[in-house]
Amino acid sequence: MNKRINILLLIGAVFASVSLQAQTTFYLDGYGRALTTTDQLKGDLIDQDTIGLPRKGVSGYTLFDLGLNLEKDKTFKVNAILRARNEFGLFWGQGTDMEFRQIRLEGIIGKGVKYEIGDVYVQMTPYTLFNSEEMYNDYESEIFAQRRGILEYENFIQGNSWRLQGVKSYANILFDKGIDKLGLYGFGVRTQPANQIGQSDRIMAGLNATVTQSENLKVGFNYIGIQNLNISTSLIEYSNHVGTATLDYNRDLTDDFGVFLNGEGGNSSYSQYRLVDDKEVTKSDYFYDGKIGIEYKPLMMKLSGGFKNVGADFSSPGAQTTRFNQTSNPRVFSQVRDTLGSTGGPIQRYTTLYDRFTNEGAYIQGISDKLLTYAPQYSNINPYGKATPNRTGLQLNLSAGDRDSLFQASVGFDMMKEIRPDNNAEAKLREFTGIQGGFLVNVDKAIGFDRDIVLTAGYRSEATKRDGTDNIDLSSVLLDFGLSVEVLPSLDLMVGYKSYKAEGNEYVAVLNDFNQYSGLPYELSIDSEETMLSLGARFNFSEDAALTANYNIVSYKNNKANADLDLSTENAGYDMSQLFISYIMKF
Amino acid sequence: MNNTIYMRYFLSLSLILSLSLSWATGGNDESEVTLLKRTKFSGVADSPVRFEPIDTVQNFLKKITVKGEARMAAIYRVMESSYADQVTPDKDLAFQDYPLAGSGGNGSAVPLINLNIIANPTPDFSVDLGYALAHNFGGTSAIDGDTTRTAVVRSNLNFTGKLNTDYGLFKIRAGGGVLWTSLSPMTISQNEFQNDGFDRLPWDWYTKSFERYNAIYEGTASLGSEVFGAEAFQGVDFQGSGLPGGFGFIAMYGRTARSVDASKAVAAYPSSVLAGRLDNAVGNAIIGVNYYGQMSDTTAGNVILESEQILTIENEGTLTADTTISYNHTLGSVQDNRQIITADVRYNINGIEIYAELGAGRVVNPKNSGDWSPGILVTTNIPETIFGLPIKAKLYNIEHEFVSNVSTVMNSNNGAPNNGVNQDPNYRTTVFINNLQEVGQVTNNRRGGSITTGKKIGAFKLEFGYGMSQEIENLYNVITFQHRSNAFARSRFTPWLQTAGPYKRIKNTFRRTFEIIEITDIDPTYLKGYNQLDFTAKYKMRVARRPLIIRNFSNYSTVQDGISAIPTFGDKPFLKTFYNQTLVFFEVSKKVSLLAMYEFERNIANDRTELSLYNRKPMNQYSEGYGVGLDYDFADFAGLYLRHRWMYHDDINFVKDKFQGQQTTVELKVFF
Repeated sequence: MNKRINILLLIGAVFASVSLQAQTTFYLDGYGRALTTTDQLKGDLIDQDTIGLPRKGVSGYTLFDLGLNLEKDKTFKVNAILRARNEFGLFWGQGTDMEFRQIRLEGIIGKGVKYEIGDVYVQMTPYTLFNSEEMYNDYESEIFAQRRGILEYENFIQGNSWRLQGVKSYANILFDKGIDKLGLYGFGVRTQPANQIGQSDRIMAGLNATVTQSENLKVGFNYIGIQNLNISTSLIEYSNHVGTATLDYNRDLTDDFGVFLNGEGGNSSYSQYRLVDDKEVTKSDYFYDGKIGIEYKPLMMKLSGGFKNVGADFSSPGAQTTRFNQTSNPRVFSQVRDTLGSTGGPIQRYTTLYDRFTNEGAYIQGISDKLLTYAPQYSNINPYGKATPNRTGLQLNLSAGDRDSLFQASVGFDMMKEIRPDNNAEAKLREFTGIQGGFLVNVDKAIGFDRDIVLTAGYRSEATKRDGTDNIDLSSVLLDFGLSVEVLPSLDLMVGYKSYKAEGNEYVAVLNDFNQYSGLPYELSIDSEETMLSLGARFNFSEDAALTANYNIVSYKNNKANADLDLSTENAGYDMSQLFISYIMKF
Repeated sequence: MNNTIYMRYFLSLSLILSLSLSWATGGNDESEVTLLKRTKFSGVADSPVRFEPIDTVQNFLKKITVKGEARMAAIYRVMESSYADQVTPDKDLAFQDYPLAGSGGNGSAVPLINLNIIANPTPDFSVDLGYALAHNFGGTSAIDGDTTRTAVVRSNLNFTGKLNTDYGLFKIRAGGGVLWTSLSPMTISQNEFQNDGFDRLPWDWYTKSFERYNAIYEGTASLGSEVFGAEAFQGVDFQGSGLPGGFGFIAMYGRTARSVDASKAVAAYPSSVLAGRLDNAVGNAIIGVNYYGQMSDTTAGNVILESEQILTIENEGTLTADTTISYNHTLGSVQDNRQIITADVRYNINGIEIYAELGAGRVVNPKNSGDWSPGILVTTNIPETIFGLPIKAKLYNIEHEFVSNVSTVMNSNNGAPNNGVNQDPNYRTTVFINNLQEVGQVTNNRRGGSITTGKKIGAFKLEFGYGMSQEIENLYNVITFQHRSNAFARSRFTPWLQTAGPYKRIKNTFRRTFEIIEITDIDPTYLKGYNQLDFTAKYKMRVARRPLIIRNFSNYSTVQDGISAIPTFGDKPFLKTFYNQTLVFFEVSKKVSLLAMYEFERNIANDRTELSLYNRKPMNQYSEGYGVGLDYDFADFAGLYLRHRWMYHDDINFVKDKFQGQQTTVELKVFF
């Protein structure tokens, strides 16, 4: 840690000294958060504990990210973020941590090529490099979105990009004739360092070229590759390449009506060799995803229908790495019972919907070459985002309005099926049906009120079915409701409610390191209900500083014994409450 | 292998392309690329995506203030004889106030550099970020695993926002480091001790040394805790003033520095403080209502309790006993909740200031009844114009279960230590059972009063202090008293340990040392009485046309069976203590001051207290210290301070209780 601190101080000194030079600007910015939670756990499941695991807790922290920024001649910028963090309740320097959170150089070569070096955010298309949302939350309450925002900040989630370490560059070249613009975007990052004992460096690089012929037509070409830089002692040789093309076309039929067509298609190539058992696997597959639709502009309404096919062996780690780490342990009340669980120790509390947007340590910050474990009861149609392999089917979407208008609403319908059955040779293909949608109403605009009143509601249901041997019948329903009312200037009252119900069974595939089925899938039977009610107030001291106090009531009910979820007792559940107080500021 | 070639080809292509782009765009004045601007990039199948992240921190030039202090304190101590449990060698060189203190961390370890960065993005909003940079001069190299330099957050990591509305002015403070805070004397504040005039405090803020000594002479020096009268707090406090009806309020939720120890804090131990105040001005009076609540509920074995062997005392009165029992909580809920509700009024009439606070408190835990215990505190300041003498008087009556370990009311309740009912007795630093307190200090399970006054006669300034109190219940057969001589040096022998010394009777706290003696009466029915007398004589003169100040302070205090109007003498008191200190300050020049000190202390117990196994006689101690010092204020913002003291202590009956040595302190202090 001391070395790190020395580096920080050195950077600070360099920044400070350079700032004295002409045409160089040095400035600070920052983000701070003070947070406390008061938690309580109770319920049937907890009552069965005989050794007295924690049932109440108070925790929190204060942190401040100090941004050091240096600009030179508007063509070069350095950004470094130094973090100071203090555990809640530890005084006089105890429990503090100093961390070097980010460093990035950026600038312009010539007049048009931008580059960034260091901690860079990279993103391409949903099938090449894309950090997909962990679950459908388009219309969740502001009170939940705030909590999710903390996770996203802590885990460097910005939109659908991944924060990785390397270099990226991009530029737009404008043309007078033929086409309007050629956009070029490229990056190279290291996703794994060599350790000189068998692990080689792993590089990921991507390139996008988009030709904008006019406002109506864009064509793009994308490539992303991941490659181990093999050394003589490499235990693993790995490479994965994906090439795609995109099309985006739209045309106005009248002043009010238009049509659009867009899509992406491509191919992947995967290769991995493992020295220890001299095993090599290569595979390739393709995908396509296209849709066509019409637009009615006065209502900002779009109706589209499409078809996609993502091959069972389509491999694109940059797009298929899940944001949420399903194997992470809950931060709050991680253990619930003394009875030995499947891991041989005290039973871990199963990660629930609430943990998925409140556990700061549950998000993944890197690219995984292996398809990660997911929980089918939370997401089974597209657990790996749009690029989820082994899916084909229809998609219908209808949307209207936007967040700033009177209302926004959308509904989507998925009817998918597998392309290849799992490794139970007698099993048929799974069929998936999904509906998702919701609305947001700016009630204040509807009634002419001068303070914000925002009402939201969301719905998502998924159904998975398979007939015959090892039949499957799994369904889940997510309900979201939110209301935010500015009752006084700067004071918002917020309420949010989520309910989630999953029922049925599914056979969960076990994958090996080559993303191949390994043994027979195990059956997951579940009948669970979750509810979350959050009530709170937010006091906005400015646009960039707010005090929030929420009281959250979480209920988890398991109606079916399931050893795989360490829920070995039927009708066992728990209730958790949390008083959450935070003060967040930025400048 | 083919893929490797493919990749190399791609990387080469990317490089060539980038260089080509550089050339291609070099002459294009219409380039859309603008540094530091959000850009949107379209060209993928879905809706436009944002390649350029929106920073959560917005980039605007801000008003930044950087200030702080550098303090290098080297302490060299040589002991000719010492306690067996002294944690450092008899020859010890330290670069922290306390040996073995965590560098930059642990309580007393005031860092080498305390750097505060204060940003005020707007007039109503500020961020205070404090870096504490410490150096242990550990002598290790990076190859060895260099841990000698550390950086932590010690004092500030907090945010303040203000909002001026039609409904009043609101202010919020949130964060860690330390939020210094106070509500009322009996709920949240800080108990203050008389300050040693010789040893310097780590946070001594005088940049001109003789101003400090003049202030001691004038009686205006307020050297005490780090932020006088305030308690260290973390969390959120929300304040409002100028509310409709003239009301103001403070609401706070978090933890104080005494809520929970470090290991429990990181284990999410359920301990927190909820407190608040509502007040209003009525005529010349300010009337307020205060609430203090410390909640701790060890429901069903929060891990720490489960894994910890809890030390407790069989008979709480006999802290000297070596026998302890241990027990585990396995099931069930062990609550430890403290609550205090008070009302207070501050009234000023014809210059006479009266403050009264009245309320009740309770402790809900296995060692207390949970019943509400009343407490009242009345103080008054009468200016010299009324009676010809300035008078400060204090009256109080505070019962046993009225407990706030973060208030001016010292805690005598051993069943309510600051870190919870099961806190290790070795580290109950805020429990002072049956304390023979200083004049003006207040403790629970006690009723009494104090008065101080003074008179200036020419260059003489005379000050007098008197205190008298009696316990409300006789709950413990022990007495706690303070060792005033060599206080700071003694407290460094075994820092923070409450059962230190050859007889495990010594309590070490920050820069102070206390001792506990046992009364051997069986089933006593009397109520102990406590008396204190202070007398201070100060004289200011000029020698060689330079100012010289002499200060002599004496204290005589006793504890006896029953109440007494004045301190008792002879064999009646269980304990009688006498302390005398003489200080001489001389300003050699505007930048150089010299000082000298001599102090001695006598502590004599009677034969109704614990007797020595050596000769069956009670405690009979003599302590003395003397020293010289030099202050060199070599700049308006910096100084060099030297102190050297000789110290001696022995007990002719408890013969292991003996030490002798010297201590030299060199301190460099720079404010910036």
